[in-house]
Amino acid sequence: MPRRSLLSVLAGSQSPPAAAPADTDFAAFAESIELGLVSLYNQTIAKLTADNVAVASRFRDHHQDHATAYAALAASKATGKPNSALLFATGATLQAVTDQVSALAFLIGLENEMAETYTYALGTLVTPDVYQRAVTTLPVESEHAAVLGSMTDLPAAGLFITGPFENASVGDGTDTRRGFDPAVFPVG
Amino acid sequence: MERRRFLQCGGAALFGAVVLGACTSDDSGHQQGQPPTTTPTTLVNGAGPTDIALTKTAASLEAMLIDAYQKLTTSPLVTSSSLVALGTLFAQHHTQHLAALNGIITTGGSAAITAPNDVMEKQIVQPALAAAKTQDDLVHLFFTLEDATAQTYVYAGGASTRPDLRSSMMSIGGIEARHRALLSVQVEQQQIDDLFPSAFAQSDNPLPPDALVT
Repeated sequence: MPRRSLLSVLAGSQSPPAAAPADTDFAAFAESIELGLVSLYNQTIAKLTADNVAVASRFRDHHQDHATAYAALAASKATGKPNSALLFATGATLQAVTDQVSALAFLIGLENEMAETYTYALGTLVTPDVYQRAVTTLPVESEHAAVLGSMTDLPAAGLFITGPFENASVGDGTDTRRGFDPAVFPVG
Repeated sequence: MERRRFLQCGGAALFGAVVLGACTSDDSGHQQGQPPTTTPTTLVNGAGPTDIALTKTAASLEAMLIDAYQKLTTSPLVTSSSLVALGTLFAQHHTQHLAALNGIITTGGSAAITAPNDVMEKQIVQPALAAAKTQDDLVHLFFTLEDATAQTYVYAGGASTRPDLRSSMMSIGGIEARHRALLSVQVEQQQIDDLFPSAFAQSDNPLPPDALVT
C-alpha cells in the first residue's frame, strides 16, 4: 500500500488539505464585498426601469450566490455582513444616483472593480478550492459589467476600461480600473 | 444548441441543427490592464508541462480567433456595421492576447505559437464558415467560439499550477467573457437566462479531446 494511502487509513479518513490562512481571509473578504454589492444593488434598483430591473435583480442574486460560496470557504471567518468600508466609501456616490443613467454607471463601476479584485487575488491564492472559486467568479463579474454597459450604449472605451486585459491591481475604490484593496476595505 | 455539444458535433452541425433539429441537447490603476508577465512556465522548481500546454493551447485559440475575425469582417454575408466594429475590436484584443501568451511561452524556452488550433480549425471553424448562409449563422458561430475560448481560460485558470499564471490567464479570460456577453446581448439578442445559466462560469474543458497543444 502506498505510504499516503496507509497514512490515510491510519488517520481514519482522507480530508482535503487545510486552506491557507491568507486564503480563508480572502474568502471572508470576498464574502463581505459580495454582500456589499447585494446591498448596493438593492439601493440602486429602484432607480431602474422595465427590463433593466430584471437584469439588475438577476445580477444581485448572483452576488448573493457568490457570497454564500465564499462564506463556506471562509468557515469561521465568515461574518454574513456586507463590507462596511465599501458601503461607507460608496455612500456619497450612491446619494448622487438619481436616475437610470447614473444608477447604471454606478453599477458598472462596481462590477469592473469586482473583476479587477479577483484578477489581483488570483496572483496570491494557493488553496485550490479558493482560487478555483475565484476563477469561476471573475468572468461573471466581467460579463455583468459588459451587459450593464450595453444597456447604456457605452462605447468600446467604456466597455473595456482596462483595455484588452483585466487589471490585476487594487486601490481605494476611487478608480474603477482597480479592484478593492482588502487593506482599505477590511472585513467588518 | 449547447456549446459543448456543438463542439463535439463539429462546425457544420451548427447550421444543420438549426434546419434539421439534429445534434441538439438544449432543454431550452490609471492605466489599462497589463498583459501577463513573461515568467517562464517551466521552472526548475516550479511549473510542469501542464502549464506550458495550457498556455500553448490558449495561444492557438487566440490565433484561431484572429484569423476567424478577419474572415468575419470581410465576409459578404455581414451587413451590420456594428458587428464589423465589434469584430475589429475583438480581433485587436486577441492579437494582444496572443502576443502576451507568446511572451510567456518563449520565455519558457518554447517556440511561439502562430498558427490557429489545428483541431478546432478542421473540426469546427472551417466547416462552420463553409456552411454559413447568413449573418446570423456567423454571429452564432462567433458567439460559440468566444464562449468556448472563455471557458477554456476558466479551465486553464483553475488547472495552472502557479498563482501568477492563474492571474495572467484570467486577466485574459475576463475579457473573453466580455466578448461573449457583448455578442450575446448586442448581436444575438439572447435572453439573460441563456447568457447566465449559473452564478458561476463553467470550468470544465470545452474543447475536443485532441485540441490540447502539447
